[in-house]
Amino acid sequence: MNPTFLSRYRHVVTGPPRVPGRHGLTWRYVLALTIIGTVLLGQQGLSILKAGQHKSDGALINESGSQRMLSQRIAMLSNDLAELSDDGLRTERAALLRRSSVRMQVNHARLSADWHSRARDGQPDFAALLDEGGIAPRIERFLILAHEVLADIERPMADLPGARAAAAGLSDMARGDFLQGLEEVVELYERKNRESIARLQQAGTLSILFGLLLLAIIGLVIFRPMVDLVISTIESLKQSRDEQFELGRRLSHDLRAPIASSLGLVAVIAEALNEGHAGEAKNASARLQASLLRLDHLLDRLMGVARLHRVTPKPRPVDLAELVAETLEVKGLSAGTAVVGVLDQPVLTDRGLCREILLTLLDNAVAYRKGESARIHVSMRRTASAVHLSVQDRGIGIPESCQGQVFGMFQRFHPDRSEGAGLGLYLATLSARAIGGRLVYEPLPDGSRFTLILPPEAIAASATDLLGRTA
Amino acid sequence: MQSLTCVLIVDDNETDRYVLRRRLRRRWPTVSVLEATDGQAAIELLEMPGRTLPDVIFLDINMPRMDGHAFLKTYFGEDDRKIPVVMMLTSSEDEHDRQQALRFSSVRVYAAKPVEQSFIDDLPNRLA
Repeated sequence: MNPTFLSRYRHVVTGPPRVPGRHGLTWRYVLALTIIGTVLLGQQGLSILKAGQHKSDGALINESGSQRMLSQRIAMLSNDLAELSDDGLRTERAALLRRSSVRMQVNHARLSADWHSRARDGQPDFAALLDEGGIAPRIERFLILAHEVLADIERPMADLPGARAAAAGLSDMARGDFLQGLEEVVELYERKNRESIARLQQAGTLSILFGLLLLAIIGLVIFRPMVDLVISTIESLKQSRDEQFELGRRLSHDLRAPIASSLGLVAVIAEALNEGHAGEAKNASARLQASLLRLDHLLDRLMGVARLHRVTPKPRPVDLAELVAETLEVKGLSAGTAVVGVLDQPVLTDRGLCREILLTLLDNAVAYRKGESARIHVSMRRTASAVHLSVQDRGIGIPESCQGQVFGMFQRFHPDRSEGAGLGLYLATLSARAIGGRLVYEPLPDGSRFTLILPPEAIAASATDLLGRTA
Repeated sequence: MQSLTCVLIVDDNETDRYVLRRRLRRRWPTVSVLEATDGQAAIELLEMPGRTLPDVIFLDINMPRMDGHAFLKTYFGEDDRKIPVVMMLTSSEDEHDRQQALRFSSVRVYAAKPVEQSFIDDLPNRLA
């Protein structure tokens, strides 16, 4: 048997490769998507906010700009009205003047509401517009003058001097600081618009940087481990598939070998009978029987391997000292085996699987002994986190070059001592894993020590605890 | 080579060694049959001082400690040793093993187990 091939069967020994749970991958994926979605929504929200700010500021700038144009128009229309003698034209101009005044009034109502709001928000530039010397009272006086012009013109007996005086007042205002004030309102809105857009752009830039930082973190913390998990799982599955293929190839070979041997013996038996060599035929028949029994044993072991991959352990309180004593008695080794160590309490494990492991270790200690009788030493001890059951022998040991494959399949290190299938320690490892433990090999100067290490779960704090767990 | 004086069987399976040994002695009753259970034991046996080298080595492939391929590489890898080797294949369709053994010029013949008497009877011609 080639240990090099079989040493690659570690996944067969340790069981199917661990596949990360769907739950673990799913929550990471959902978390990553949630973060990305939140960042995108935030970006979109900022864009909407920016567009809204543009629209709102645009309307205010339009209205404040419109006030400038309306002030000039109202002044011009007022002067026209005051000078016109034609009733038809006068009526037409009066209608135009009224529309312009109404529009300027409406604009002023919207704008002054905005100025009041901003003044309450602590913006002194807009508070100044509402002050005694600000543009707001001057717009109101302007509109009053415009109303006076209309009123004078529309009297039953038109008051033209009055209208002219009011029109002159309007013209003075439209040419002086009033117009400047209206322009300053436009500039003020434009400046505020630039400032708010700049703030939004800044927020947008920061959110993009933050989003990129989050993406980098997500990439490192979530996606990269996910990708690593997926890649390592794929690699493990590929390796497992390759190993399964190789195992299949090896198994077909290792099953054919005893059959080929048996066919050779059948031919020998036939020849011996034809040649009248009954003794040789009998000898070959005995060998044939032994060969077929070994094949049967191999198949039984292989079925044991398949069974162990599916076994469900039944943990119960087990008195290890009693189990050891009983197993030694069955193997006839009680007299020659030293047993040391006492466990004050039972351990929670599968008695049958523990017994199988112990039987294998004892069988090996006997098969690979030095001298006539095996010198075996069994010990038990408990640590804070495990229970150790050791079988130590003073036998022929395992060659150093082969010690890395001790628990592999079909490993036979002393074929001259035993014609077994080379599956005993492999099965023992499967059994140990099935009960949540592990089997450890230590080479000794004059023999070997194998230790079954049971997991912390096997340690019961008290009998009551055991009863509670196994109920 | 019409007669074999001494052969070496390298095979961990005692039954296979028995069958081959019987076949050889049916053809050459006085042949000396050396046996080794793996490649390492075969090398130790071949390198014993005063050891008469065999006329042919029957070499199994799958053996513990040192398999057939490792034996070929170790024993025939460097020196110009000229002992013909009969490669014993458990399966005649084991192309993988055939290809690996082809690298060594000492491997002259392949035989599928179980070896038949006719193969042994015709061995000198195959090795010539």
